[in-house]
Amino acid sequence: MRRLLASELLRFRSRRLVAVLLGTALGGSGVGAVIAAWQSTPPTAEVRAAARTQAEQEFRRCMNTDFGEEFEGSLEDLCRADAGDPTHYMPSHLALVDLPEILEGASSLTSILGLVIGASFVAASWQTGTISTIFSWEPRRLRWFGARILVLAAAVFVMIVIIVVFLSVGLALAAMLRGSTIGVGSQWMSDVSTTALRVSLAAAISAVIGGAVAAIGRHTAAALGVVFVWTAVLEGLVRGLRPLWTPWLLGDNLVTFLSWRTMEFQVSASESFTITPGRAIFVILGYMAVVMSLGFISVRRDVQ
Amino acid sequence: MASVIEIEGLRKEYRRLRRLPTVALDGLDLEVPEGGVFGFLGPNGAGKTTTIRCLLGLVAASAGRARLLGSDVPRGLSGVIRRVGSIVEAPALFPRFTGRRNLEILARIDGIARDAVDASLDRVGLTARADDMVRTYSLGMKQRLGIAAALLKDPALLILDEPANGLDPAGIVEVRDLLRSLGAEGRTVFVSSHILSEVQQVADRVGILARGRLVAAGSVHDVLASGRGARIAVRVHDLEAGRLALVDAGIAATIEGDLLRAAGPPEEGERVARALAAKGLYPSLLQPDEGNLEQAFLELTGGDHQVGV
Repeated sequence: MRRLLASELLRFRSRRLVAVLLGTALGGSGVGAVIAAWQSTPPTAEVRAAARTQAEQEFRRCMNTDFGEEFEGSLEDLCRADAGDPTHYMPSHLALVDLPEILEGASSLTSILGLVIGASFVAASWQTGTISTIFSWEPRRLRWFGARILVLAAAVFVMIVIIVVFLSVGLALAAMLRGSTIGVGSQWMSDVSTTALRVSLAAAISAVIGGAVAAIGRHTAAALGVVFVWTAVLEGLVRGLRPLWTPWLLGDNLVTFLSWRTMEFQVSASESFTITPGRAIFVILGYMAVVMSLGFISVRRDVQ
Repeated sequence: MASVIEIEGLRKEYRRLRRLPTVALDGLDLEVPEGGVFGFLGPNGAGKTTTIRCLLGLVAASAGRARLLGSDVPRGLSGVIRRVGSIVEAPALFPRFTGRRNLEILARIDGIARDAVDASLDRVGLTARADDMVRTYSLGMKQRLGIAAALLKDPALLILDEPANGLDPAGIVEVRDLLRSLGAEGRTVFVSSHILSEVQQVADRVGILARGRLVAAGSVHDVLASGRGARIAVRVHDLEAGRLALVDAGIAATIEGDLLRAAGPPEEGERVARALAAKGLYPSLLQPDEGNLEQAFLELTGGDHQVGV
């Protein structure tokens, strides 16, 4: 198995699409950081001091307010994160403390990146006819499919980690030069790390789904089309027509996983549902299991 | 002599929506002995490639049994595949990778050293272009790269599907020499082709396939003889008089071009000469007429489909 993994990894590394997409993503991150720095006006010392004072006042006011309803976490955490954040009282600028939200926002792009790489990595073997050559070297198709999906998931994960780290470093430099680093501490560091991990995992999951769907259709464009129709069209229809089925939709569970917050939906006065992060993982794993099983069944079909 | 390929009653049907199934193989029986070059002949559409795909586990047979190097296909294929090098139809390699990188990717599956990649490229004369993308290769170069990939495993059995396809005359000669040398090294080379003249020059044994069935198999000489009865070619100055002389002597004869062809094995040559001499006809040429594989092939397959010569 180790040799098969090494072979698949070499093939992944040799792919021009991977190099082009990685280069584009890194270039885009660099350009994005430069634009963010360019458009940001760094707050002066006076503005910062005034914002801190106002944040402290708003924090105290928040702590003395009776909200009259239950919410997640402690009141102090809520007030500190919301009313007590000094950046809320400064003119708009690049605040490094917002990095976790920026990374979450970038996750749709990184997931699409993973999907495209996954579909192309698997389908290319059929489209170029090289699958005949591969199977005449490794006829155990389950083993081959497993190795390819494993390499795909690991390689896309590492690739997205590199992109996220590059983007984070770029934005950190931009914030230090032309923004603010207020609120940056150990808690922030932990938030950034876990968000980066989830963003990379979501891209790896997308890659696996794209790869497995591509194994069914044996064509990159067909696989991308199917995933698009499923997530953008079918799931949209289900949300509108059968809202109570929403907790079982891939898109909503991926969003919950990425934000790592419990999502609550009120469908009507009497009907509501929640998606917890734990449940989201369970549903996502279910989707992966189904699509990989279908992919494996398809891989066993005749190779013409 | 042990058989490296054993096929019994192999049948393959391709089912298509709202159409009758296409029968590609219809109870094929075939045995390929170890060592030498075995030519697997048949017109286009006879089922040669389907047979190879079944042997390599790429398609599942509808019925029958195939064994490769003593192992059942597809169940035991993984145990013997390391000793089998193959090309199925056109060599399928990644067009945007270099020739060397394509071979390196395959070599890693079996833990084959990089030296073997270089040696394979060298053996097919591709060292100078090894670092160019495969999509820039000519068809002949792609064929040679495919053969290099098949040789990477240092295989005991080589299965090559139309390896001379797309090659120029010099390339065809190179491939022919390569096949001969591989056979002489003690490997078994199973080469499918519809280019009969090529196979006749390199094969020790042949099998002829028509409409999914084997119609003849054996040494080239035996297959040539099985195409029709043995004949003797004769040249005399008056062909019609010669034909009548032979018929009078009880020897069937026909005029073909500028030759008389008398039915009978080479040993009948003396009788033919006597019959002609008795009528005052003295042959300027009298020799056994083995014909060629092309004629035997056309007769055995009923002359169907396109045949390359």
